[in-house]
Amino acid sequence: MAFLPNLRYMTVIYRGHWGKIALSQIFALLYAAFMIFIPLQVSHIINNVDNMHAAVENGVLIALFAVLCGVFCMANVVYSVRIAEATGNFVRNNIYKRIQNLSFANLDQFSTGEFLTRLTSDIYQINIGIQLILRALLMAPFAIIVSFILVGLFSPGLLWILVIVIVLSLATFGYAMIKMQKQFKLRQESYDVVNNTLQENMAGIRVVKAFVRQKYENAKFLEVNEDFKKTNLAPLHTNSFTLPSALFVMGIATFLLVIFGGPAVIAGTTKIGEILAFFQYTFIIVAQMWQLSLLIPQIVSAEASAGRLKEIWTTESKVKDIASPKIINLESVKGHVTFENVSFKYDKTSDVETLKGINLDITAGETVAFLGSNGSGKSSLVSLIPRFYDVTEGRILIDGIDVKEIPQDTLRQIVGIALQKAFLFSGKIIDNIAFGNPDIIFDDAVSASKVADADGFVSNLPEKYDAPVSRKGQNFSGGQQQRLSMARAFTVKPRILILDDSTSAVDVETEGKILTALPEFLSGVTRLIISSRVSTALAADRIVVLDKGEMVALGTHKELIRSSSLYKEIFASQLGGLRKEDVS
Amino acid sequence: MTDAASKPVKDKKTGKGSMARLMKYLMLRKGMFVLALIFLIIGTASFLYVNMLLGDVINILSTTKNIEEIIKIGLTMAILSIITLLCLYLGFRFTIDVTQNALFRLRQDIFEHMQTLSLRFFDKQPIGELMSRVTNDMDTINNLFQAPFGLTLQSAIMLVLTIISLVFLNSILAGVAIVVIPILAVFVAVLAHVSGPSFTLLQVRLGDLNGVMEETLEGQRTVISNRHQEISSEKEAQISTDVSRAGEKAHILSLFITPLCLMASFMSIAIVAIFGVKMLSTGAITIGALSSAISYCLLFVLPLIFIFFNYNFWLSALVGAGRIFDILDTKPDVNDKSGAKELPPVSGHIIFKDVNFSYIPGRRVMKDANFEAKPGMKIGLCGPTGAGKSTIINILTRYYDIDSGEILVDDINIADIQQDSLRKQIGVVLQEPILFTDTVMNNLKYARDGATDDECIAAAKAADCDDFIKRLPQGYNTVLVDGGANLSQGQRQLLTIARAMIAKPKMLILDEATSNVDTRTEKVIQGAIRKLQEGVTSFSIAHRLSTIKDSDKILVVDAGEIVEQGNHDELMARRGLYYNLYMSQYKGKISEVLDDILIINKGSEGTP
Repeated sequence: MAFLPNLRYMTVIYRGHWGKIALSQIFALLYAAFMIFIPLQVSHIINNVDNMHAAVENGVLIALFAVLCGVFCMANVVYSVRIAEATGNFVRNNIYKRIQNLSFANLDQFSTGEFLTRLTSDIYQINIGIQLILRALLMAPFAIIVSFILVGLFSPGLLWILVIVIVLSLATFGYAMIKMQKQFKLRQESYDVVNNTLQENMAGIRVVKAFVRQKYENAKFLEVNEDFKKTNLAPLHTNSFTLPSALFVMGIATFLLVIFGGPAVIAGTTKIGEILAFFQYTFIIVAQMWQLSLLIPQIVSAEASAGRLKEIWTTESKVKDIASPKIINLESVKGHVTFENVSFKYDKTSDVETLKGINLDITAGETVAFLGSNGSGKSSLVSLIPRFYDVTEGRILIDGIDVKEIPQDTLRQIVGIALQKAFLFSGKIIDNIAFGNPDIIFDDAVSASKVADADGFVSNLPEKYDAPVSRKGQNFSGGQQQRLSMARAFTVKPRILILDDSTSAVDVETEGKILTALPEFLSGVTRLIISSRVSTALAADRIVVLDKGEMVALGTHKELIRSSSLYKEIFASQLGGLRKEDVS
Repeated sequence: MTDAASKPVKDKKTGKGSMARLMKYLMLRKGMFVLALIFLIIGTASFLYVNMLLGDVINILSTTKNIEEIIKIGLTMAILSIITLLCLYLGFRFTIDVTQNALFRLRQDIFEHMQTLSLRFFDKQPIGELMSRVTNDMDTINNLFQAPFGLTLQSAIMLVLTIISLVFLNSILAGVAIVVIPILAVFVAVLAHVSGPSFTLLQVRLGDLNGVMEETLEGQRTVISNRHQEISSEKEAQISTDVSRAGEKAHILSLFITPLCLMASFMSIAIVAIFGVKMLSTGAITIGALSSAISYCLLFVLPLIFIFFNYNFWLSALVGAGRIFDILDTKPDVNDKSGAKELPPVSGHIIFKDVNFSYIPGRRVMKDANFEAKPGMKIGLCGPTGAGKSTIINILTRYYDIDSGEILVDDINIADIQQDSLRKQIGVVLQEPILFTDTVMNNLKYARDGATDDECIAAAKAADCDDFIKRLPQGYNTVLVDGGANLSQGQRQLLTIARAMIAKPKMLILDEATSNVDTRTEKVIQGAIRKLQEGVTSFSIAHRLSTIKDSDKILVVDAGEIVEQGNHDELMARRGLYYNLYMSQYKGKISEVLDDILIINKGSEGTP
């Protein structure tokens, strides 16, 4: 099995750092070397207490080593941190770029939260992981081995004590490390339960209050809270054991040193200074082993994070431009849309067909409404035109050209869409309106927002079009967000405009105004309007009725009311009941 | 202090207050805390004493060479090591128990306190943000309380005891050794001073980056459809580089503490060695004392490093705690009057008298509202988007208190009674059905403390839920995950209707309850709602006028005012706002569709 394959993948991606990595390791080894030689100098002093001159000489040497040790340690820190940060930054930018190039189908696989965790905490993990590896993974074992060899050189008879120290440390730290990993996993699960309970409570606070169940909620939370306390205590209790056991190992080593080293000194085989040096080397070894026991779990989780990042790194966009796409002159596009026997599945391996055998011809400049219940496939159908997804079978043509042959970038200039979920970005209102067409002149943006019936409320704001939009457009009501999102789609001046249920939060009267004003602003543009409201569909030239992925009816209102029982049913339920006297 | 959410990060002054309040939580286990400290002191002292004894051994080795004495000291060392292990383990363990208990209590307190807060608190920000704030802030305290808290305590003890040991060995030597400490202290202080703000800067930069990334990714579909991918990559790369730079500075600065402490420690070894040898020649100290002193020089580095590295945990924990305490200090906006009585069982006769209301002072959303709802009446509410229809739920249930006027239920002013007793008699069905992660049965029982299984099943049958519940893997005992993700939208809504039935309310509010379902499901839900409405005064907020057409009284709301009221026929005859709203549904094609409607009407008259 390869050693840390995913983390290495990340550093390999970031080429050009090998020299710096090598340098950082040289600094680390020099730092360790100077640190290790200090106890040796101390033992020289103790061994020659009568020689004042030697003591001063050795003392100065220790001071020099101290400075060198510190300087090299600093150099190692600087290099390690820089390499780690640079790698983190590079990986983050590239993962982000990859995400930008993914298609809707890829986006469905990951939640925003998952992307964010990868771009934040996973990046942080590999950053820290690489830093720790560069700082300690080579240096600590080196320090341990050299200390061990030095002790072996000057007091070989006591070396077995160090073996015991190492074995004891390995056993206790290893045990604690493995046990804590398991306990942390349990702890994480119980922590998720606490957070989910909290989340549900907050999201449902209206229901909690409506049924007056605060006490019940408190009791429910107490239960998960207590459970979390318990599972959280387990790894922490294990952790309570590590530092004491490190000190215990040191104490035991000292005990063995005295019991067995003492007689050796008396026998003249060992010098007093070496007893002290031995004590200090034990300290270095235990300290480094303890440090490793803290680092290894972090490195392991960095490796796991790198694996998760690699998953996105290697994800291919499900919608790709073909090798030599057709060059399209935007001006000449008419907006004639043809669905040829189109079938679509979100998941190619599943049996669930979202759309089945759709054949539809929409002439340039026509307005077609798509009517159907949730899950009937109406949104899916139109999202195939700008290739948010690719059809599973069949073809979609614009002016007779398969959309797969048009570069995505061009295609999305031809097709403008106001999505079901109006999404605004923080910034200014004008930036949001011009989002899809940053080159638009201001007056055109204003006209677009007039058509979308947004100009009224925007003009009432003190800063008008420069008024701030807060995160995700929270400072606007649902209906206002939708109107701004429509203005944005109009601003693109597409040849084909899709309104994907984009008036659901707008009242019927306003909706009527928008749909009436639209043809003049975007004359000759093919308009596809999706809605669950019959009222919206009435504004169209023709209506498509979808049910469970199939096109069950197509025609004008007059035709459908006679030919389609489903249409008649929806119509009667939503718009029936008008009486003759209401009209006169 | 009702505006905790928008407060900036606390300054140092309140940091102290937070510490004192955290202390109170720790003191819930006062006895154990004291015990923990005692164990930590004993454990650390016995560890340091081993080193002291090593000096004695060296003395014996260089003078009497008494082997028996050495063995005796060796055994003492072994015993001290065991004491070290046990006492420190217990000390750390008890510290953990104390801190985790404090955290547990604090978490419970914040949860329970939030249950008492009014909706104004929750409506101020998206729930997701409030949630992540509370969890993040609790996490910062948890991060401190996990290990750093105990380690800091023990490190401080070790530092003090090491210095005491040095002084005990020889005060002059101690003075010499400790000379580096003030120098080091200056270094540490400077580092802490520079690295503190650089970490704050890093946090700010990270916050910026997260904000941009979250927003963009959340709106990724909009980004794609507007061909904004490249621009958004560039924007991210720019901020990401800022983060990286800030991170570099913060990490390098904070990691410099290790080399600095090492240098200081080794320097002090050098100084002590030279001075020690000189003092040795005059007989001022023994060789054993010198070697112990040298070891102590090595030992005081560790606690210094620990304290420094844990410093950041303390800082962020105190900021987090400050914000948690801000929420705990937030007072509910809606309070029961002192001596407020329970609302007796009512018939559901509701009167609004000159009601004025605003969410934000000065921005009125309801103006002089007057209307009456007789027991059992069906009231429909309609009007343009944003006209203030939903406000009525918030004030009738006293989620918010009104600015002026009166709301009377059976002639009792709702401001004078206990909120809970009022809410128990009002049922609410919202646009987004809210269910909890629990069994179907428990979700139904949620409506009323003490509801029986039979009652719940009867309600489920009445609300057309029984069939699909029985088809679930474990029937009524099936656990609903993620707010009922294993059910369809319509099924979830039917469950919330059944739940409302179990509560047996006398008043009912339906807030666009069928807006997210298709026509056929809507019919089923409307059927269930009709049963729920029997004998109950109900308010329906319409997403489509057809859903409130049959109401006994329709209130037409525009810009916070009730501009028209009456039943459908009356309002149509008035040719006012309601009429305009109603007719605008036909998109100017009324002449084309009228005949069709008349035929349909005739057809439905024929079938009973």
